[in-house]
Amino acid sequence: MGTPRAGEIVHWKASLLTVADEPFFDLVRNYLGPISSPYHKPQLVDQLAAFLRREDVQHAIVTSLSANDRELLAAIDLFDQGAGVARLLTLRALGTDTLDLHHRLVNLEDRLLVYREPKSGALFLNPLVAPALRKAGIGLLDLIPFEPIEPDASDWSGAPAPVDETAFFGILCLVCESSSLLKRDGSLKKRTAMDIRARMPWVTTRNDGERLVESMIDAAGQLGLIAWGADGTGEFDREAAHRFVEATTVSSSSGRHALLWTTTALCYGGVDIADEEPDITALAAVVDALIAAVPADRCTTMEGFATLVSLMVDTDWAVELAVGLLALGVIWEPAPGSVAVNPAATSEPTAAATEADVQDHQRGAAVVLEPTFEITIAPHAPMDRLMVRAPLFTLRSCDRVCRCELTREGVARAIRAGIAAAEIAPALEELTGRPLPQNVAFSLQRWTADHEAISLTDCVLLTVSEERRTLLEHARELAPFILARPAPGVFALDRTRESEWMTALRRLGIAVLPRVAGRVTGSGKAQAPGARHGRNRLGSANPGTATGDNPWVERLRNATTAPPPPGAALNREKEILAALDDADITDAGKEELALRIRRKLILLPEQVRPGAVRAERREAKGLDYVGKVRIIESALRTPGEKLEVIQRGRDGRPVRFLLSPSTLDRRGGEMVLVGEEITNGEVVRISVGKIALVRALRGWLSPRQ
Amino acid sequence: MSGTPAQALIVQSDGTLLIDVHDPGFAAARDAVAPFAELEKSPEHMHTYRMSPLSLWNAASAGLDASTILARLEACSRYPIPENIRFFVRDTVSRFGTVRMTAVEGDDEVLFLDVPDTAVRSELAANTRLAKLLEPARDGFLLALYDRGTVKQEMVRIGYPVQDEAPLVEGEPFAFGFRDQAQTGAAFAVRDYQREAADTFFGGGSPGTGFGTVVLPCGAGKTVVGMAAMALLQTSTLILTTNVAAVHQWRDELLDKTTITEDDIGEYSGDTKRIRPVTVATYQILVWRADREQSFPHFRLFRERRWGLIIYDEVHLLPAPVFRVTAEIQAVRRLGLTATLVREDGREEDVFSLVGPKRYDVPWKELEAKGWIAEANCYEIRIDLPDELRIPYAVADKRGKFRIASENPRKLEVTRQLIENHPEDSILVIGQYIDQLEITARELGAPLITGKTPNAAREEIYRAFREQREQIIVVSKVANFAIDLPDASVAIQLSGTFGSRQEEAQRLGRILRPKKRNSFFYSLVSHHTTEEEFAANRQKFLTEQGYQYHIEQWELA
Repeated sequence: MGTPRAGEIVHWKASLLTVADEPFFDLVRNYLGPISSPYHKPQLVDQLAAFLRREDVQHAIVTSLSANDRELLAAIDLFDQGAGVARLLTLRALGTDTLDLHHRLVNLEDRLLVYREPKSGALFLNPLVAPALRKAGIGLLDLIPFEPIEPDASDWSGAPAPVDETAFFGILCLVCESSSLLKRDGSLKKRTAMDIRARMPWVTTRNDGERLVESMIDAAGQLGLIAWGADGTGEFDREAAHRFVEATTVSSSSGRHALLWTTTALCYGGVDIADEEPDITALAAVVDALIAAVPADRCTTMEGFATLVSLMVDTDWAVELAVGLLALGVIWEPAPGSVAVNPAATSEPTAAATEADVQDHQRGAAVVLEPTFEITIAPHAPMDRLMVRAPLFTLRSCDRVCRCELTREGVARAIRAGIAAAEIAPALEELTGRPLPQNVAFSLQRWTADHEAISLTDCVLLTVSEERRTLLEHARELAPFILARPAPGVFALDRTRESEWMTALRRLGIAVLPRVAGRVTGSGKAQAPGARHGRNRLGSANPGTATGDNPWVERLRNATTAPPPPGAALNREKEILAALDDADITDAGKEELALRIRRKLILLPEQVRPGAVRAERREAKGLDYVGKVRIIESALRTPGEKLEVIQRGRDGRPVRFLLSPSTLDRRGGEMVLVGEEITNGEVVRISVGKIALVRALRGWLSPRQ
Repeated sequence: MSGTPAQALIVQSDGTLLIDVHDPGFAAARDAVAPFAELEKSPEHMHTYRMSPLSLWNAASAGLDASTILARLEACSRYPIPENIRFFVRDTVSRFGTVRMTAVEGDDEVLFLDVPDTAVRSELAANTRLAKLLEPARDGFLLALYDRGTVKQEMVRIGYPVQDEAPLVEGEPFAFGFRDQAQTGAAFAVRDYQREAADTFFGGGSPGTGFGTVVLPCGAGKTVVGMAAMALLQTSTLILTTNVAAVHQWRDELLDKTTITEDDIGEYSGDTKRIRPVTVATYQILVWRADREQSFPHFRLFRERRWGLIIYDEVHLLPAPVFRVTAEIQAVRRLGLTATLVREDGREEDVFSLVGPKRYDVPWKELEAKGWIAEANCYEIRIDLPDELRIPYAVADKRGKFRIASENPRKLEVTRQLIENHPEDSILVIGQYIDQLEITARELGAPLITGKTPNAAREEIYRAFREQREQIIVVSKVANFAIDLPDASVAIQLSGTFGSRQEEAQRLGRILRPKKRNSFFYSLVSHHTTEEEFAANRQKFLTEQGYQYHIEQWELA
């Protein structure tokens, strides 16, 4: 982003070569001074490029930018594939006045700050000045007004602690402990809600804490961490958890945070993720960028924040996302009606981490296991390694630090969830950074041994009468399918190979087989409580939203660079006007140059010289009938040129039209202008005599091909 | 930042304060929070304190205000302090002092409850329990002197702690001093922490002091703390303790270490009822009555003399009826002594509100590190049930299972082996079931003490044990309380009640007195039985005190 790319410059030069001769040479004269034949357009374009590359020119460009310029340039820069006027008009931040927007865009084109791609008509930043513009802080925040937070509201101690991944870990622990937390409508069961309030005190500090917890449970399902069973109970899906953390460990911890926050925020905002399928990964990248790059001392409105999101990613759920992020504490309200990024959410590695945490981490105290079996988990603990082992931990409280306990039930849950018994002790030693207390190690060994002392086998139990027992016991055909022989005449058969052993039994002469008694038919997995559908929303896509990989971050950070002081532009204008006063130029020429100075087409005093301008009349009014006709005729000759026409209505008030002129017809003794109104496409006919003012509006330099 | 004392503390939203033992700021953080939070547990890495309304009011009564408390938390806290905690501290502390209890000039039988706030006054007037005790007066209420404790107790319950400014009565003077050399010949000096505990309780005699509880582990010399408090006050003292053996222990200690003569010490028990300037009584005799309809005749002991101090030994065992009488004697200085504030009936708060708040405690391991109590090694030994008991165990009910597991005959074999491993040690074998203890005593050839053992016989066995004529004593649960066995260094616990933490504290205390060698605490547990579950409570309690706990599977030959 720092230097112009060769391909883009070729693109820009090509577009300039499509400009008609007259406006092309006007443009060149303005910047390079008088030119003489023979004209060699590619050479002139190269000279223009050299002019624009000059440091003093770039400095002059940057200092000449107004807030309006910055806003529009930021909007154009927003669209990688180029900005169409129609698309720009969708940005509410730019207003809805088509005429005004046209004026502003044409002005930027004249100033060589943007160019128009002839085929598509899309606008791009001029690649020769774009780096300087971006360096000057042109960015997204020019589009959304982010005001400084009032001094009395900038005490961030009022900002709630954002719900961080430790809280998500706590939720996972809860689901593992009690799989049936929710009612059929997806809300928390009453007793569960009470239990959660006791174990997660942060829930009670928020008005909508329970709804937030419900959304977090929902989000855990959407991310695939919880698989919902047919009976509405949730089960920890260790494989999915592994996929989740593996997909996010390549990025920073905040990348995982952004995914968790985004998914929860959408669930909280009422988005039916299963049906609507918002692009969570893209939204998470936006959230990650926003919290990484938007200065914490600036605020905007909720609408502004949502607009910013929708500018960054094509989504229908920007408002819902903003509402959810507010509930999560990722953004907060420093004052009624305004929101800002919560500085606690921007901290790395996690919300409340401090230098002491890092020290803790170094000496392995992020996870502390006591001989009392209590486990203290600091906010900076390696959550990736903890999340995949969530069933092991019995949650006691989830607060500034998480407090869990190692229990026999937890060990059983962990083994049931697929965590190898032999893995548990080494994993705990790795997490805590020290050998396990002897009593804990002994108990773990006992608990895992106890768990392994009993086995459960999913099978079909075949019981055979005494007279046929010998036949089956010695039958080679059946042997491969027998999992166990729990008693004489009783065989545990492999359920998954039912057709094979049935065939074998038939071959052994047992032709008539009864139905398997007590078999339940039906699907295994069903919809979760409420409208929650458990599936991995990440798919195979890598949600890596690490700050370093996220292009939005740089764009937003550009936006945080302070623009040059307005005084610099004023001084430059005075300098140019002084040069104009001293120049030996006709009054008409001076008038035209003064107009150009106001339009910021003159960047340096050296551009003020005779022959740099071609006097051209652009408007006529009142009784100047001939003048009005000449301007209309000129517009009809020039492709893309528009006309602004003001006519007095019956009540004497001015009525304004913005027309694309079609013809100038004679009707009796009167000339009639026929054109298409740009705003609504209607054909308009106006007698020239009745025109109070007609003004030619320059069209695009590069007409659409 | 390493080495700064600012980050050892973690403040949780539920009022729990965690202090990282390994942080350089540990000691500073502990000292900062101890005045307004109760130590709950002190395991190896993170010590847990808790702020409660009562702990904050106790701090407020000692002169700490909310901003000081919050500033201390801020100074040591690793993470931002939860907003609700700021509110909790400010709101709770602000309640202290809204109601004051003062003397009424010219009337010794009545006190004035000063309640300037009209809304609070209305709330108190509407409280049915208080209405019986309070008589409305201008800007407050009048109450009878003997309702002082009951009113304070009720006020704590409804969230308005009383700032008790009514003066404490001075008891009859009684002068005595400590000996430099104990009568036994050993050098004697009150230890620093014992003196500190007594000084904190006494508070220089300023208002709001002179009542409270001191929490120290068994073997740390709580008796000496009591004597130090008596020495500070120089007044007649009533000492209440758990049983006659403990009465005799107090008497012996007083005679051994102070200038108090035998003539000045009275015993008030089932056997003897002699009231002297220093009288030691049992809780049992106090709560004795002919039948449930009668009043408690021995409560008159509280009024028999103008006591200047009442010491409640093992205050966690204070029987409920004594609460009532304690409520009536709030004008007398009161000192509670205990190793654990855990009450199985959950009435810790009553102890705090009637006897007085916790004034002093020290983590056990800290005293161990300084050598004031013995270093204890805790072992749990798991023993398989013999084959012939497995089926009876399987078919027994819950209580039956526990008994079979407790009386596992293989425990005797293990006990014998453990005794062989400690030929130089004095050993207590402690159990719950008399049958099992009788067999054990017989097999080991050791004397047995149960509740039925006459006092004289009991004391003779103790003497033999102290003089090392006996290496082993087998004892029932009577060993739990106030028996002084100075040289026991090994305890083998054959069986216990259902994992009572209080019992664990007391039993461990039997071997904690400082000595040349380390102490060993063995618990024998039947493997794969319900006894393991109950043993987990013991394990929890001991590890919460900071002890390392080893579990071993005993492989029988």
